[in-house]
Amino acid sequence: MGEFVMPSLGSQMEDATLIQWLVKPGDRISKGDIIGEIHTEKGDIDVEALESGIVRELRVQEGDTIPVGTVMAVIDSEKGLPPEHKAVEPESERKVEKEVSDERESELAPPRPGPPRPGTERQEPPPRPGPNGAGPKRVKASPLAKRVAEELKVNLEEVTGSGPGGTIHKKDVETAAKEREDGKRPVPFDKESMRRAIAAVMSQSNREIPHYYLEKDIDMKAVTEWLEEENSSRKVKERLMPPVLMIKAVANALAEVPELNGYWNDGRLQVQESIHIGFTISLRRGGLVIPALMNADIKSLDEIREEFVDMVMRAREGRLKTGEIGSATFTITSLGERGAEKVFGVIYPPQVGLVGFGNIIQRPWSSDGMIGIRPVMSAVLAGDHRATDGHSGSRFLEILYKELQQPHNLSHQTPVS
Amino acid sequence: MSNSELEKLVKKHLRSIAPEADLEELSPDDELGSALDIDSMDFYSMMVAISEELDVEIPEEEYGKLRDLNSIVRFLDRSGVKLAR
Repeated sequence: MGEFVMPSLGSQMEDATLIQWLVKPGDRISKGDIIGEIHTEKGDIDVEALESGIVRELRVQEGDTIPVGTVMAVIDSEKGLPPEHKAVEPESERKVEKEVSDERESELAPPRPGPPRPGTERQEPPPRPGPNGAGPKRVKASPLAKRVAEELKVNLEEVTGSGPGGTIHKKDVETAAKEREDGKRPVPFDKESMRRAIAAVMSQSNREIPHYYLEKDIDMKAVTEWLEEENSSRKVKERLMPPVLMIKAVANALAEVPELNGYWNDGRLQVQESIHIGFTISLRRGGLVIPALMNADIKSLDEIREEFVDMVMRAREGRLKTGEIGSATFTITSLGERGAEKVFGVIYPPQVGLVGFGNIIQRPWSSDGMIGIRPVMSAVLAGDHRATDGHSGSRFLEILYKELQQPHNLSHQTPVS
Repeated sequence: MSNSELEKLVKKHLRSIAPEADLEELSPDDELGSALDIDSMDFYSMMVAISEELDVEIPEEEYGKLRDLNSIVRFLDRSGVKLAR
């Protein structure tokens, strides 16, 4: 039997409000299923099941405000069920499970590059999303609403129900169809509470973390030329963009400098074995979110692209999942193609590092004794001086630079099978 | 499709990523990124949606040139697109 507790999605989160359950006692759930929705200061978040089994009891009611750590539901875990009741997990997920369970947390030893990395700690990564990035979502809808949704080609997962427990009625479906026609789908958003959440975390960071900053300009000629060639044979939907290569290059650099990939907890650095890259996404309506791209170091560029695009879209629609928030072990903030040339970021605690990328601009650049015009991007590392020193940070930037000079190599790194 | 129909279609997609923007105020040669404060991911998702709706492929060398309403409409017109669905 397992207890499902209200997860913490950040060091400042104290509680959240349960919007609705999407399961009921007796329902079979699989690890990764969306079992409910909660409202936090970071927006509305889908709650994922952390284990497979059968829901025995729901202990909190829809509308309740629940402190972090409170038992929300009791799950008869699959391990205790007879074989015929067990859900079948894909081979890949079983493999990830085994890899994780084979490793144990241990005290930090001096970090050493290259796998295996003894002295590191590994957190169990959240379950992988489905092929389209979204887990199976149950909806409560009346039979009439389902029929109307089918007629009007409305996805019930995107409809907000007005009935008890969020049950969707016919009028909700019709409203959604009308909003789609108008090109407007309002997304519930509490700007003030998000601002408060950002203020709390950033204040904590500035109060507690002695930041140091290191900057390196990166020649992006190789990246832009390689992308141009690579994308020429791809459909628009499948094209790679600079952030995909940045995420991969940062993950690879962290694998070489693991002391930057971790958390500062209880007065010591806890290096993390898994590399989960948080990517700052600014929201049009104000504020930002930092979902994590899990295990970026062992993913191919196409896997990263698919997950990155899906994550950005869902972040902007307010449909991120619990496993994606608060899981990052390191953060990237990127200014995109417009605006400032450099960003000196603020570390997201308890992480110990963040790299800020400026926009790519054409600049004079000296190479092989010649001065020419090159696309150049600034990379500024913010490091936690309690955890690391400038030597580690400088090494990270040097490796990052080299990674981005060989985009062809980045594309050849595929997931570990 | 006529140019006015293409413009209407592009504006429909712009409205979905920048619902608060007043598109009546948008000039055909305004750079969309700065005029509507949309970033590269917004632009990418819009071009994917247009590409799929009109069943038109956008070559990489053209993609970088599509920066305002005029250039997008001209490109779609040159491609001889018609509504795919």
